[in-house]
Amino acid sequence: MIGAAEWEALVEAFLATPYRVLRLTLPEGVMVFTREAGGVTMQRRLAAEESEAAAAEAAAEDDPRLIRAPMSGTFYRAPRPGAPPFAVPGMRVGPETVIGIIEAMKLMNAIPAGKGGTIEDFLVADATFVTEGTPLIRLALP
Amino acid sequence: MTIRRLFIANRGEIALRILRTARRLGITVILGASEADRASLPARLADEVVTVGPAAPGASYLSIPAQIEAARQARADALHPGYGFLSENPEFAAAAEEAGIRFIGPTPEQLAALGDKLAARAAAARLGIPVLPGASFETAEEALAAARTIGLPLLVKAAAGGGGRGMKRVDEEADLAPAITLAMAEAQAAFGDPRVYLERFVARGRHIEVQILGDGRDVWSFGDRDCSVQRRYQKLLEEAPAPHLPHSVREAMEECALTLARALGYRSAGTVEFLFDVESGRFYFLEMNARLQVEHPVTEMITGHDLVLHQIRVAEGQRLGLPARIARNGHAIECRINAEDWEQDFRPSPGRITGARFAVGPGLRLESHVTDGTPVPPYYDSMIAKLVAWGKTREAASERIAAALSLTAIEGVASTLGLHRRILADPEFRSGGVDTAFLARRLAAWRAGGPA
Repeated sequence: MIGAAEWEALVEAFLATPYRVLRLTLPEGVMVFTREAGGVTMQRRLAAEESEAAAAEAAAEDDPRLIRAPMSGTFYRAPRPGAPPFAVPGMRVGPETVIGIIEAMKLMNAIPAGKGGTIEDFLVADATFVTEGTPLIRLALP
Repeated sequence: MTIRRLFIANRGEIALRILRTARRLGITVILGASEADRASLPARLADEVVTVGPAAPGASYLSIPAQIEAARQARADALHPGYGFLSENPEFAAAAEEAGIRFIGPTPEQLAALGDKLAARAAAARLGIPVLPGASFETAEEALAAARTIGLPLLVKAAAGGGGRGMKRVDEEADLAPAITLAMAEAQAAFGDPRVYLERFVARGRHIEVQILGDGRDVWSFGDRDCSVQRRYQKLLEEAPAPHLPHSVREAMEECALTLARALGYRSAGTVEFLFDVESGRFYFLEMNARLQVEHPVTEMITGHDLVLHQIRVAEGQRLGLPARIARNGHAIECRINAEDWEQDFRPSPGRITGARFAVGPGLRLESHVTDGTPVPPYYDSMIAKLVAWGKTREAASERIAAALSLTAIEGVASTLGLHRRILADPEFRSGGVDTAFLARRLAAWRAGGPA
């Protein structure tokens, strides 16, 4: 098959054997082929895979005054450089009001406030990389 | 010339795909990786790795000086740009050639001619290739006037566009200005060029494209692909050949694609995109993509040709001497597995893949750089794997990929796997020939939790 990886021929050979699991150590890591009902699966891991530091994120209880980023990406306050911002401190917003955009994986996502209130302050600067849950805006106390 | 040291100016599955063919040819492979990708699978498999820059693509994969400097440092004699990033940038191709590095792709002039989608539309029209009514504009008043001439609904499209970026649908006049603003912002971010234009929207259209390949003298058609299963103008599932297309339409489309490629004296792999109007049975030229496409494997599966191999041969200055008609056999389907939560409006889901199990076997092809523990950085696009299946018939290919999908699992990030299972089980998709609105029609019901 054109473009097929070198190991794909091994899968065909594996299918002709009575074995259930085939474990290969290749330059691309350790590959485990498993015969299952309905086919063969492949799982691979890098040989020297450092264990991931499990950053247990404290589930911050939700402050009703905070508008948080719904996704990771770059937060922009204006539709393009030099243009007036979508929202400014002192502005009243409703749940549908767009307060900025987040560019994630090259797509521009309009970000609605999600809740109503008066903007007290922006908590991140324009063109800042934010992760899901990062507080973007603090609303004034009603 | 013979290419001995190939620099890959890309990442992810396509870097691995190019690496595989180069390796088979005995070419030394140098990967230009960003700091976020230095431990990636392609980086581990490449003969040499050069860091092109930091994780942010603007300073690495999208930086011409950074890429050229890295390739020069590595003493590369050729460069493959993959798709996306700088792959269709004429200045990049020219900078490579100036540095004495062969660019594996079209000439800078061809890239410039096709990169401006407006100019390409005009060129196609001059050759007698059908195009949709459309217009460019300078001011908001001109845009409104043009919109009234073209008629609503219409599409705002990026002149430097591709991949659905900077594209917005407008149904009412009031939405025109905001759509233009957003499209311009997206076009600026994606291409560094904010220009947009308007084009008539076809209510029921199928996205069908023709794979062509030129060696600078002769041009060949490798047949068509149907990429109508899309969301937000981004392809999710592709197949070859396009199902239920009248023979005369298929032939005429291929002839138009060849006419355009011949007029350009086209070099390397390219794709001519058409919109097939289901209601009228007519087709229209949309654009020509001057690169290897994400979905090229379905064409390779039904033709048996290695398009990357041909690209390398052409870059070496070889004539391909292929038969006038490239034979095709059977049917192939590709599912793009993206790190996106399709039930949450396809929200990107960057993070770490804690476990990935892929179906493999006869008639299946996996294109993926993913291992257990692979990070999905937020900086790049969200595709983590392509699963491709071949069958003697469309039904056989569908059965095979549906079975493969049920064995495949991705843990740690959200993915589009479940969505593909639903598409493959859908009676309308199964009968073939769905239009580009098919997925949007189904999504609401599927999100509401209908049966899988």
